[in-house]
Amino acid sequence: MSAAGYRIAVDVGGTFTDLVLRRPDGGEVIHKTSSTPADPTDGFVAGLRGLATAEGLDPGTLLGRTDLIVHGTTITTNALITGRHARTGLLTTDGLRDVILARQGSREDQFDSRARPLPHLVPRHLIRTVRGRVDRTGTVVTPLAEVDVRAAARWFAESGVDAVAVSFVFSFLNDAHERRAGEILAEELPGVFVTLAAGLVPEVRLFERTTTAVLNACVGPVLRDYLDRLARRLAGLGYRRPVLLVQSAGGVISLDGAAQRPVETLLSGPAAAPAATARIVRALGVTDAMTVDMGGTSFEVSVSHDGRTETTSRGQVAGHPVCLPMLDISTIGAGGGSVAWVTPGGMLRVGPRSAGAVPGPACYGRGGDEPTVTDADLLLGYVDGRGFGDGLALSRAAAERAVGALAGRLGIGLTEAAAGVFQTVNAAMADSLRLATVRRGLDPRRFALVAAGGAGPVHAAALARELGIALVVVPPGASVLCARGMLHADLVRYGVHSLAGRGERPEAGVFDAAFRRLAREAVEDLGVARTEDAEQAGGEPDRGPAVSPVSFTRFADLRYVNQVYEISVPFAADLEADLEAGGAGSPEPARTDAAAVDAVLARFHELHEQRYGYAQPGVPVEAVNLRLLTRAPTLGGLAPVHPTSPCPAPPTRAPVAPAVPAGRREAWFDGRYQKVDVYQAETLAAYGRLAGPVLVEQANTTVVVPPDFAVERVGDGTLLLHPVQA
Amino acid sequence: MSRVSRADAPGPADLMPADPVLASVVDNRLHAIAEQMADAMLRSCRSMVFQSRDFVTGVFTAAGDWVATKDFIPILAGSLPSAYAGIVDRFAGDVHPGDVFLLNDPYHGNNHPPDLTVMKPVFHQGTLRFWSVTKGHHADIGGSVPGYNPDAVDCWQDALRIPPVRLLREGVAQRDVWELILSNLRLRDVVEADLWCQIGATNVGERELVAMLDVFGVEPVLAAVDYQLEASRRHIRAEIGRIPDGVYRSVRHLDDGGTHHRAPIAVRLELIVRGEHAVLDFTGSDPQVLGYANSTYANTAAAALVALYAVTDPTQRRTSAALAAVEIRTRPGTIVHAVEPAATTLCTITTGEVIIETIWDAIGQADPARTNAGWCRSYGFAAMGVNERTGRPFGVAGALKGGSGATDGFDGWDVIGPPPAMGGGREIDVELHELAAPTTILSQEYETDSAGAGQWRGGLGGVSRWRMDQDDLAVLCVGSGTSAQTVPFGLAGGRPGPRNRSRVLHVDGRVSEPLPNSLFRLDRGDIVEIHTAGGAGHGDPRRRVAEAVAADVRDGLVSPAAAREVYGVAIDPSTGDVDRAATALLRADAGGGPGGPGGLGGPGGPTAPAAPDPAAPAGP
Repeated sequence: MSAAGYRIAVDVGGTFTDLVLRRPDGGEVIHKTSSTPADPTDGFVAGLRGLATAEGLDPGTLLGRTDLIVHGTTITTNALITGRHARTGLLTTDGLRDVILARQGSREDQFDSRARPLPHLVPRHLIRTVRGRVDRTGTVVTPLAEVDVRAAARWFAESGVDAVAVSFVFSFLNDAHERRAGEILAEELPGVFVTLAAGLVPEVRLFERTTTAVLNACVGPVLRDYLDRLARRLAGLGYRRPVLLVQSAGGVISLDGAAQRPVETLLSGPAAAPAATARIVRALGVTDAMTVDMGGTSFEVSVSHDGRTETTSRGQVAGHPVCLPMLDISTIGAGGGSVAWVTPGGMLRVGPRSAGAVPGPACYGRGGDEPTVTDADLLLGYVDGRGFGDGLALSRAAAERAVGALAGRLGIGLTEAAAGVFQTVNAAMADSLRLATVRRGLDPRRFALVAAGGAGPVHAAALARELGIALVVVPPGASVLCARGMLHADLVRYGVHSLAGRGERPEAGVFDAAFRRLAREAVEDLGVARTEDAEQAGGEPDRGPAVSPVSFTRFADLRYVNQVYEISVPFAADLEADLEAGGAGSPEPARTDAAAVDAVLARFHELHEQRYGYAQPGVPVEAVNLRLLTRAPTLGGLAPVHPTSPCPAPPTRAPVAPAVPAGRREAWFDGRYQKVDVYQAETLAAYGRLAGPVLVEQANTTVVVPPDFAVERVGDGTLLLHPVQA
Repeated sequence: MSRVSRADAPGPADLMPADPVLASVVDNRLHAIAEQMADAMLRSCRSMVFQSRDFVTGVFTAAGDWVATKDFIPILAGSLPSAYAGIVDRFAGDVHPGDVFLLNDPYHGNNHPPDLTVMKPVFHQGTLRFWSVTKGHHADIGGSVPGYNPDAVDCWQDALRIPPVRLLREGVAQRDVWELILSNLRLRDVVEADLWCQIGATNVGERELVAMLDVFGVEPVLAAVDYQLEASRRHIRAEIGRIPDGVYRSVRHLDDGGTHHRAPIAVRLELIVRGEHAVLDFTGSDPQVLGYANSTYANTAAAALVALYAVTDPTQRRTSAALAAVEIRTRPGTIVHAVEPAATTLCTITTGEVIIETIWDAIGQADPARTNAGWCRSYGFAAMGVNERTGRPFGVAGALKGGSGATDGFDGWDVIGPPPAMGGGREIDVELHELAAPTTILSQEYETDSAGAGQWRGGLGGVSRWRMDQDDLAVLCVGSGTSAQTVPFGLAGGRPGPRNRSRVLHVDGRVSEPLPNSLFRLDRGDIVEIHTAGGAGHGDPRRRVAEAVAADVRDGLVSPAAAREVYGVAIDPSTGDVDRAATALLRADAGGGPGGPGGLGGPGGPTAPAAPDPAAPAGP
């Protein structure tokens, strides 16, 4: 590898575009600019200019010295949420036209007759069926009626679709009909984005497979157009090196790869947070952490266990099931804007409805009159009303009016009501953290809690207290956590080998052959991606991001015979090997022998007991899928910034002499208002320790340190909160 | 019930504890625990019935109050309190940590036999504080046929009766009890595993309840629970108070009661609303019948709760305090209050549906804007046997469900099934179905014009064609809604839904029409064709936004003929858009009310929403 240059991460969110520049010496520059939803590449480029200015270079020079840009985007998620996705057609099996419309005959809000179904991704008149059927053994029992496919293609053309998904029953066993239909559509509909379901999700369950394929089609043209535009603009600035996109599963993928499987970018933004967290806590000697990102409307939780965040293939985005690996990030409607209300029976509830950004919390003074979490936080003195985000001054009087009305309905005082909102939303968040861990048989008390987002550090200590957590971590610039994570994301491939419908008993030989095949495919795929990237960027192939060393983690999706859901059980040996090797990797997956299969089966029974409250060791176990996670770090040529010592040295700034409070303000602790010191985070001395109650101001947030906690700053500016024994 | 629940005593406001915040926190936690229990069951179950979410979880206090639930199939939940009482009455004073109890007998407080109630006491520091409860519909519970037996004349033919028994004693499985039960079942392995699935969920609940008590302390939690129950009672009373005072009467019918009672059966309701008090008087209902359609009192109370919650504030919690807030009057020996030895298996579906309909119909007389137009009745087929390909026993159903009724301002939901589930069930995936069963789903699609028309139309019903791939399969047709008298009822000028119907296309060319509530056998190549009803409409169809009708025509949900004749909307066949001039004539001819030729100014475009803007019909 040639002399390392700059590396840039760009995280385009709904409100802000966050950028982090990493110098060859490991130093980092952070820049934040407004997002430009009409054309997100505007904000992207403006951010690059901002970074260049901060580094004292012109943009062309900066990009000329940059090796790699890693990008997270919400473009596909937003397209889905706003309904501004491609006009999409669906081609499916004769007789099964309504599989995705029928939602399996269920609805979530059972008792709400005013609840509406999710907007249809494909209107019924753009769902066309074709004759041709494969049966449960994968045998073609009715040949594909190509005439039907051509007729559908004409209808799609007349209807002006930009994308088509093809999903036939049992295609995961035999996809010949899907492939042939794809060929015909390519002939008949040049330029239309076509997705074949089995090519994307070769797994049992027609409903989920079809929905995933349809989502892929819906966002495909949107992502393709966006990436084309982005590539042109970067080329215009003289950038010739690779751009990698963050995937829902947390790894990164080439732009070409992303354009083929756009559904895998639906969590592109938040998916980088766990990587950032893992890196931050690893430097502290911690392997298990929960990341809580509490913003204006939602509260996102991801769990990192043994240094790794679980992926799920049963996730949802905007209410639609997605059957492709994505990081298991759970979201609840609890943010600063969550509205507090009282039931006619007298129960206090917070959320899930949010006042959003407009009108926003009452204290924003934008016409909102409903009490929100931010109003409560303001009244309790936890957030500073003088300069909030964007320099917005918060109105205490408006907050008092809104929370006062709530207090009246509950028959309690204003402050008690504010404290009640604070406590209630914390409890709801704690419930979701508990679910995220306990559901997997993990004990939340053994986790560190990493606080991110504008409201995360305000509530983190209270959450930790409720969950019995002993360490809260507030990284510097918590608001650009995802962008920092992108700098360290790996190239990742998830391969799946489906055994469904074949009743496979776990057998070492079958497993081993399947894992080896998946490994070969993944390595080839990663290598191809590198070459394409480099060529696409007009550079030399050997200067692409490193794809070796590679590491493999094997998973078996196991269940008791007759069960309908599986547990994805990792081969513990791979996790251990990975930790020991410290990312050094191995050329191929470990051999899957009888002992490895026995170990994974034993682990299955254990996990089953932990998660579901029982195990049946005497009952036969079957394997449904085999999965192989293949990772290649992108950070090849760069030296790690932080050695893996608990308290790394500060990278750029020398510790400042004993901290002095920047001011004092009244805040609610232990059932009364107390005058407490307010510090600026950057003025805290490294390794200095302050006992609560204190407030520590960071850009756009406040770290609330209650009386039963103490805070200390470690070298790179990370704040650590510990409970103190009374 | 012989026990006095705390929820029965309406506590004055000054008895409310001073900490409503902790009450909210504990309330949320209890519901999160119930959800977590349900999640554990869903992810570890075996039978397709459990997979379709035909189960509920619950939390009870040691004092007997039902305080939290996850009710995928809510009609199972409302009968938890009586099942709880059945078990606790039997074992009071003999309850130990690690015990697990089981009940299915409808004459010991359970709703109907296939739903097995599993309860585990939760001790904290040696004292009983809570009960962790699950109830699920099992694939087989004995009797002459697995599942529903339309031939049953009494509770012994209906199913194996399990009075309250102890499944585990201080953590040790009582193998004698297990064997006594499992030896009477055909699908013993599946039932045994699903019982462990239920026990596992109660273990999860126990673990979490103990953790909650550790964090908050016993006394604060108990005080919080009292507050929560009082809030629940006040909430439903406030909701009842919004229904205009009066006495409202409704009669709805079951088509029949099975093989031995081929005649309609009436459920008669007198709803009396006075302020925040409601009486549901079912005493005028028909006598119980020889057959499996008789409803236990527990099921009738559960159905009443489902009906009320569906037409009041959906954010309410389902608790014993809410149950206690409504007075239900029945006469023992009637179709809504069966006494031994009546068979009862069908009661959670057909009889429950009819009870719910009477309540919605009665409230509709008070104020049609507050209620639902009639939903589809449950109607379908099940096949069972041993799959020759896999060697495993199976039991499956193979049809799309029907649609729900419209409400004021909202179309019904398509193929969502009957009200006892309120859309909480989930259909088995076509591929999972065909991998497990020797039957093929040839088609399952929405049926054009199956929804009751209206300004807001019902949800669509479906048409399904289902083929047997093995000889001599036992097939059951079960349900109702097959007569003009029992179709979904329209509201405020909305049209009723159609009948449920079916036929069998035999491989030898014969065509037969199976009786509902009958058992028969089919062979390889035989095809069952099932038409399920859409829901009924709300409001005059001629007031429906014309563009919404055009969108339904474009999507194949409404035929051009029905658009013209029922909705008074002419569609230009060349564009698929509304022919405005012809529509104005059609709607004027019919004297289509104040909406008349309106609807032309509604939100247009090829993707006009299925639920039209209620403000739109006001034309020039």
